[in-house]
Amino acid sequence: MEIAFLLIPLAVMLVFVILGGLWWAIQTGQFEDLEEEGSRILEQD
Amino acid sequence: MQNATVKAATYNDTVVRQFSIMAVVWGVVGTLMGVIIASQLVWPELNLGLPFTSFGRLRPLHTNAVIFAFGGCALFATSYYVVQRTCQTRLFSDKLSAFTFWGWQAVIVAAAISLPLGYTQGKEYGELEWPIDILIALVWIAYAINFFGTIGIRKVKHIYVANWFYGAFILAVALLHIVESAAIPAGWMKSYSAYAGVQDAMVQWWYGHNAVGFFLTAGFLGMMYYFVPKQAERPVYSYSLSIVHFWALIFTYMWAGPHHLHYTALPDWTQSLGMVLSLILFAPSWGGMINGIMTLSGAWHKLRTDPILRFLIVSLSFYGMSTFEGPMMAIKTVNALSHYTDWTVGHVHSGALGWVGFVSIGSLYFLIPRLFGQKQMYSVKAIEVHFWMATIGVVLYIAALWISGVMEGLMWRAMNADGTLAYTFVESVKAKFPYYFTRALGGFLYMTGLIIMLWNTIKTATSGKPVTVDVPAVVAHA
Amino acid sequence: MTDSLTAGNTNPWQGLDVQSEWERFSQRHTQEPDIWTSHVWVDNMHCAACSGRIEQSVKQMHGVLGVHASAASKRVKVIWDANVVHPSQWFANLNAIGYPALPVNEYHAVTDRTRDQRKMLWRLVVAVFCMMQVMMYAYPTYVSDSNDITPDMIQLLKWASWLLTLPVMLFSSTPFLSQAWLSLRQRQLGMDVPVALGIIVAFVISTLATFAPGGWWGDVTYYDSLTMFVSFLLCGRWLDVKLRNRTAGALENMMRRLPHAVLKKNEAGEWVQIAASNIDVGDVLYVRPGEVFAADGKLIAGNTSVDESMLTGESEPVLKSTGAQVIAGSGNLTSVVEMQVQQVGEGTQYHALVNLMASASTEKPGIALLADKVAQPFLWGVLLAALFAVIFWWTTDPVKAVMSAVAVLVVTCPCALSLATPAAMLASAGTFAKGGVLIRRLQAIQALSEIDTIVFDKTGTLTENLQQVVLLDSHPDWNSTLLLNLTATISRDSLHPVAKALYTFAKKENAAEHLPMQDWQEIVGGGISATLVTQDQQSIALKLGNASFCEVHTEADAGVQRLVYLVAGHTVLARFGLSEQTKPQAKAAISQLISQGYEIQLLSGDRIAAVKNLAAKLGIQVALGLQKAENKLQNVKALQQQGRKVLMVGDGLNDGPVIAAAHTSIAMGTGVPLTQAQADMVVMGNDIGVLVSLISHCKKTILIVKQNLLWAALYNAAGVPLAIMGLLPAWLAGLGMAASSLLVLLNALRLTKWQKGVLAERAKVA
Repeated sequence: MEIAFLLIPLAVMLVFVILGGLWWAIQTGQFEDLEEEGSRILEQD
Repeated sequence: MQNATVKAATYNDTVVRQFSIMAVVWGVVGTLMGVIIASQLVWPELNLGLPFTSFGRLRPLHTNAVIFAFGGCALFATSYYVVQRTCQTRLFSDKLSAFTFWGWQAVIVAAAISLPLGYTQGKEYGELEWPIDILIALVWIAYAINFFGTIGIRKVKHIYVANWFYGAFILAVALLHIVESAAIPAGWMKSYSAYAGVQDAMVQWWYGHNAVGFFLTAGFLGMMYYFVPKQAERPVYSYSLSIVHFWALIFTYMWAGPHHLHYTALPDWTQSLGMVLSLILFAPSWGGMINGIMTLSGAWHKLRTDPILRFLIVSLSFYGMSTFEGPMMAIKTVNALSHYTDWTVGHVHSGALGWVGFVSIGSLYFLIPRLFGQKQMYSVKAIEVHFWMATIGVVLYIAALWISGVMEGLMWRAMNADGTLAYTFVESVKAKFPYYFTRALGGFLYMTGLIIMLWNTIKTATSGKPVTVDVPAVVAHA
Repeated sequence: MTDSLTAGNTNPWQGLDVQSEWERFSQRHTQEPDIWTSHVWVDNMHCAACSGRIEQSVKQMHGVLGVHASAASKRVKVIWDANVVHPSQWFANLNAIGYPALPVNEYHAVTDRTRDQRKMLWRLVVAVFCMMQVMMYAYPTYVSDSNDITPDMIQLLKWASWLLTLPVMLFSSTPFLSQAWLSLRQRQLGMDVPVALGIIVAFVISTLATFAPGGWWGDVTYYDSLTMFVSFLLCGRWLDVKLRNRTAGALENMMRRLPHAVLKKNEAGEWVQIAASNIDVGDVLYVRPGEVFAADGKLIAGNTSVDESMLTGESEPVLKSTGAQVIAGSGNLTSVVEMQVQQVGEGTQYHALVNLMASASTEKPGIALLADKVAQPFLWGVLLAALFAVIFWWTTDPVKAVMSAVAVLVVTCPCALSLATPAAMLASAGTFAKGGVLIRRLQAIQALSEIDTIVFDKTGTLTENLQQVVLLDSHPDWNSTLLLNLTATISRDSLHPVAKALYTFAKKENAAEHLPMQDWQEIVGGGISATLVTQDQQSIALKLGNASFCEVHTEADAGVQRLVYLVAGHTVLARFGLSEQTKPQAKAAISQLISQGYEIQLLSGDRIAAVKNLAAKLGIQVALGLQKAENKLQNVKALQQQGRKVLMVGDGLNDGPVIAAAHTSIAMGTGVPLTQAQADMVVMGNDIGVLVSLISHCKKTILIVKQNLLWAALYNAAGVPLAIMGLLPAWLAGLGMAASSLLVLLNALRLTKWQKGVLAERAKVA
């Protein structure tokens, strides 16, 4: 199962990338006014 | 104030139009391939005795055509449309957009030529030989730059949830493709996998399952989160839930793959892990499905009159059904019966025809008239007909394969009192004949529906003309 | 300012075109000094379509760089260039498309608590996600046997788990670690210290086992337990924050009641919009129906009815005529009025109310103080128990020793203990606040649950004001029907409660109300005067009002609370007596209290006969009249000497010593001036029935507090020995800890349902 030595570090790295993405999203206020953003797409075309 | 807008910007809908049309075209081609190989299973004479038309070569052509040609084009079209509309800006680069379109069509044509000729890496869903793999990688990188570039120049601060799903789909597919396709070339159309034995199997199903997870689920969920609210004219049921859905899905999807390798040489603990994670996946999947369906709460009556909405909502029911069925089949004891039987094929098709197909068809029916300056498709009646043909087709298809799969599994494991097998393999094949026929019939109905859609699309396109849509006036400041 | 003045005077918002004004609701762009981001409040923006329309319209304006309208929060954000456009212009634009806007002054004060709550949620999310990943890598070691999984694979899985535990240690557990560190630096043993110690020890042991296996610490890792109990802990914390915020939310809703901007009359006599924070005493404000009064003051033009329910608990609108007092926070219901400001900001009754609520929510009740007092020795006990576990196991198995200690530290986390009281008390206080009962001291909940004697110190608490009217006597020469007709006609248009009562009375006697009358005039504090035009064109000057207004002699006791005269010239035509009426719920409430075993007394300053009469009607045994403050005090003290715990119910005024002497006190009645009320609880409105359910709810609260404390104690008594014996893995300890906190919180949440009033209580009894 040597492949695990590639896949597991890759997965851990990925988790950190995802956490980073989550962190970025929170920090830049992506999730501030959620329900409002949900209806925004209906307003324009 | 020097950086205020100078001229009214427009959306790049050309590339969306191209991909939309080709999605319909490849949909017909891909399902035609499917109908042919399904018929070959019923009437083996249809192999015609030629290597190019044999089941073994046409089957990968079918899977590649429906997943990457039809599904891929639909994803390109909708993601390019959604990212522009929700970010209120033109696509990052027109040149890259054109490159992704022509590059992707080249990949599809190359696949259509090389697969019947017998060039294959022999990995399911990753059959294409290394030069084509490199072209795919190039197109995908261009796609990623174009998509994330558009997000980068967006005029709306918030990134709509659909874009998160599309973004995850693009990044994950890039990673999966690169890891999966790692191979040592041995000539122009020949290569050897970088992995060997069970390692290769592990990588193959890590890739294979995540292709389902990120290509056939995340991408199409992006589609769902935009087009269902748009067509229903209601905001998504709970937008917060959709955000949670996204993060939960991408955190749990990556490791469910080993369930494809139950009872193989893969270490037991990996198999168990695959099983457990597959079961966990059920929760976010159903959260998303309920969120999508409940978007219609208070407007259920629209289902009665709107066949497009019906396509979208039925697609979610199939999504819910498949994501329930999948974890069940990943349980080792259930898998002992279902593995290698037609049940698996039926499961894949309830996801592919029901979920992926329906949500794409619904979204394309939303898009196509708008891309050609029309209020609706040329014939709404035809959409109605298409809906019923497709629904009956899918139901026939999966019901036939359920019965056939369970029957097959039971026959294989049936034993006589003295411990010998009760049935020979060929007996199980013989018993499946009526179900194979029904499956081919279901597939035929589904394909005919797509042909009607192609006709409807051509009529809509020719009775309207390509329109250019202005980006709503937003000042480049803010 | 000057150029906007000369630019034509039609725009009512030009007051906002001064930087000092717009700074109140705008923020300067970080790089470009002329770019401002403003927040305004649009009350009638209800849907996405509204916000779309607003955005489209304002966006098109020259100099407006961006608009974002949010229908959910009713707020619009406008980004604009001060060189090109002024706020008044886009305010006018908003008004023109039908969305009048008001500046949002406190927009930047994004409250800390919502931020806290959100941050706690993200800590929880990170912990849970990492926990799931760690569990995934821990799972194989549980299910596989040793020949299925190779040692190097196990090592790989440990490294992966270690990496995934890092975010949990560095981000998710920071509240525990930093709180513990803070308390240690203050040389105190905070309740986070054992938890923090547990987290750190588990992490260190696991890290050693990962990177240097083979020491006394063995090679077993506890990343799964660690991430799991941090997740559970955070789950408890998050719920705690959420519950607290729910209580605080009620407070905030009250504070948000005041308008952001008002229309003020300027020197030129025009109405200009100014920010509410700029109102001064003496200003004349224009208040439209549907608006909320921004300050205390006097009506100087117009009559209207006013909703004072927030301040009085009375849901009936109150009629206010010119000259009447209006209070900040009350709502103008029916017509346009002008008011003159007498009190602003800190001085208003509204402000006092908000302060009252704020102070109550931060105060610690006695029972909580007790828990705090117990906490210190408890925490030392925990540390000792942990130490004991280490010593006990060390010789046989050092790893087990350390992990048992960790389990002790985690399982005893006194969260449940410290949550037990405040969770229940705050839940009740929040519920009461919603029902119009303000708790001045949380202590009062406990006190109220202990009382056995209730003393009403005013008849007013049990009676309604001047509702009952009797025609005492009438002039023999005048037909009584005519007199009633006159009374009805003259009192018809007045909004004064006495006039209203008379009008109702006359109408009940079938009086007509259309006699020809001229020169109708209402004099504040006096009565009404008018001229009756008779059929033969004679004019008769009529007056309806009190003795001094009607210029008649004040009379001695007539057995009623108030006398009203109808006079023609100097001839008294009729004399009306108005007296109090027992409140509709009083009898039911009193009899219920008596049946529940409470001793009821009535100590009033009123005449003995009236008091006795009232007491008899309500079934109160002990009723004393003509009581002065010192008599009341004596009475209360006497009761206390008998070992009774006395609740005083009155208007909460002027009886300082009595209130101080009583076990606890409740002020009730319409229009109680809160600033002066000294009672522990204030019941808005005069629904006496509330008293019954209030007392029983307080009892229930204390019961739940006791249940919570008992549960926490039992849980610890069971958990600690198990942990010391090494029978409790760390993750289970974490689960137990979280479950016990959760149970406490859920138990407290039962208190958020409160059926107010005597009838509901009765239904429960039946």
